[in-house]
Amino acid sequence: MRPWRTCVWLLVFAAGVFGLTGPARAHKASDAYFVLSEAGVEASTTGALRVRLSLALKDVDAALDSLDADDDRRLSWAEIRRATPEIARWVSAGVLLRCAGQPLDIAWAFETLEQRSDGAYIRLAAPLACAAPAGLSLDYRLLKDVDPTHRLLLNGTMGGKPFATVLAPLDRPAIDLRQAGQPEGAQPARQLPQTGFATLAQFFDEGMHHILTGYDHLAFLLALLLPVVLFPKLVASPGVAPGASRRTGFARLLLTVTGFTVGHSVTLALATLGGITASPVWVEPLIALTIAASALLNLYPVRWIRGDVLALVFGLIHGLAFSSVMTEAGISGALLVWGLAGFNLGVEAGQLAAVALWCLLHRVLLPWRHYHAVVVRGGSWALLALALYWTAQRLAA
Amino acid sequence: MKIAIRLLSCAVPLFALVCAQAAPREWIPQSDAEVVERLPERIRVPAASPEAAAQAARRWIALARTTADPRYLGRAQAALAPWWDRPNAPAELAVLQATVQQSRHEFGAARNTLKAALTREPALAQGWLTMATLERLSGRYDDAEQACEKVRLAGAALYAGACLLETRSLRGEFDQARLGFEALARQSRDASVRAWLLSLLAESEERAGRDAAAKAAYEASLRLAPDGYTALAFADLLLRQSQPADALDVLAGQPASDSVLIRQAKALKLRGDARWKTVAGEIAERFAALDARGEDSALHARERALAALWLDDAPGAAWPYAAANIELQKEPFDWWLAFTAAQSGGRGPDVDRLRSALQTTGLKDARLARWQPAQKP
Repeated sequence: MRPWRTCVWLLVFAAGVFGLTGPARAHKASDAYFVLSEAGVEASTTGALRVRLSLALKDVDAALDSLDADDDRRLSWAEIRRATPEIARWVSAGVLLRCAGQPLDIAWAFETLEQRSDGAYIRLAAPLACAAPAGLSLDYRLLKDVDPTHRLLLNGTMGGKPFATVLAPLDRPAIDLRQAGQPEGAQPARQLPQTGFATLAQFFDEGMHHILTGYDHLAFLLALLLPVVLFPKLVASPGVAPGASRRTGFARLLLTVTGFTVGHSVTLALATLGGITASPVWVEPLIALTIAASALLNLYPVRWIRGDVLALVFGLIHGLAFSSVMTEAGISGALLVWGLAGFNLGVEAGQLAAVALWCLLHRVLLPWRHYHAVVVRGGSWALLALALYWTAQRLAA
Repeated sequence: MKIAIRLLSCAVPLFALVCAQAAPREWIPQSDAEVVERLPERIRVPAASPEAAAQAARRWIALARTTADPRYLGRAQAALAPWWDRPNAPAELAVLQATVQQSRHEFGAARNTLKAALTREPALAQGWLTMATLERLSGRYDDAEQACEKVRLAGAALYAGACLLETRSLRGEFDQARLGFEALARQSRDASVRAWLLSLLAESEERAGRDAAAKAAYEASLRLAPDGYTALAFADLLLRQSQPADALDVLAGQPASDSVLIRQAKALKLRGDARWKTVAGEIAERFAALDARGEDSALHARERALAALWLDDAPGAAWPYAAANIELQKEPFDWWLAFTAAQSGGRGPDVDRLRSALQTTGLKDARLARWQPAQKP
């Protein structure tokens, strides 16, 4: 390649690289909108329908040279009116509707102009009659040579049921609209997380994820559970664990986990509904400190500090960290309560899964002679070191 | 979270579809002379010769860029259609295809297209330059440097030099980058090339934490040749320094891309100007339109995260987008966005995860210093 050509090329290209990387320029690509509605209550028997099609004038211009008749690249209302019959012919050729296999002759007429986020659109509309119970189909080919990424966004009602779908002239140009009204093609609004139960389900997921990936909450839970002995009969050398008798059994486990739950539920509810706020700047290091404190108390127990009370008090702090998830999820009113409930249940479920896993491990390791020295004390030392590291790291951030 | 995102990504488009279609303003002009729409220049794709197709595609790409309207990327794709995704396409056309894909944030696809083209024709400077950009974007600086080296072998010394300097600056070699960019800018006679080099210098200075020098370089670059990308980067610096009035000045006259609108809304909000809500409404409308189209929301996650963070004050809502975005692109701004969304959303563990991911890339940036291990100056 000749050097100067390379240079000119690169210049053009660099301008492209320069501009096209980095911040996205989203907007949207080319779309057209198709709305099918049933005309009147009797529609299901008479088959009287109405179709509307909205097309971006910029797209029509790319397909029909004659639209901008004076070629000044400013599209006047007069030019649009003059071109309307030709636009209708073009639409008829590219939008094929069939009723029971028979092509329908559709009289597209101008309805209105529309202003959408990416420019002005022209909307054509036509009445349509198709009473066939199965078999109103649409084949959409407009703009397929102009823009392979063009899409037709369809919605409307068929048989009283709402439907919404997308067609692509190249990949998926045709659809049976009667089918679209049926459950598998239809996506009615009840699936939206707008109902209480859907919100609950959504936040259940969120809560479960939060606890299971939030390794600081799990570390705290572990620190609380380490000294609890669930199966006293399996302990290899009884009496080695100081105060083991006080910390025995599933009741203790239940109390501790419940304490943590009550604690974080209270602050989460207060922050979400009552409007108390907490800055992550101090909450995050404080959470790390709660782990350190719990680990330290395992190593040097203080007689009057009970594990379940500790779980409750420190749980209050952990709840503050959860609260941002709720307050910033953008839901409000009655849904907030559903979301809160879902989130709490999710956290609970995740917590129980973690506890169950710990019980198994505990059951396996407990008969080991060095269980107390290695698992309880060693684990606590490790948690203490880790928690102090997190504290320092979070204070520095 | 993944499940939640999946649920949302099914539900939101449907909801958006219903809303977006109810939304448009309807009107019928009163007079024949009323201008309803301004159309772009006419670009015709003549008989399908590779040269004509390349020229048309380049013009559509440029139009997409100046108008911030991605529909023209679809037209560029139409111009390239006979060669699109064809294994025997002329390498130059494959590079243009990669450019279209890159502009749509389909970085993986762009990379594959380029890789195939460069295997066929290894001396394609512009192909390697785009490849280097993609590698930098993914935080693979070693691979980026290798691609820069290939640009040099293909005979484009200036671009190879800038490519290397930018990559090394990302790795913290700020002083070398400054000297290099200044030298290249002195050598270059073309104003737009000088402007480009100065914008690279400006970004490098910003990463170095030298905001005053960065500001001067942005200003010098924009004086030489106005450019949308530079204007955005400069506006971000000004917003970071809480100078919304100056940010608005810089953005004035920019095509109203989502990125520009978000920054304008943020600046208006900082100034206490109630009009920010109108702009925010328009942004929300655009997001709804994207959802209705069924586009992968990850491709626009940067804007969504930013809108949630800056306009809705909702780091909790910003996080899923910021997390998806950092998977897609890893420029300093993307890291900043992810860290900020995680930190202000109280997601300690996510911050820790991001921190170690950042460390593996080797990116150095003063704006990220609070999340990076202490460095020697």
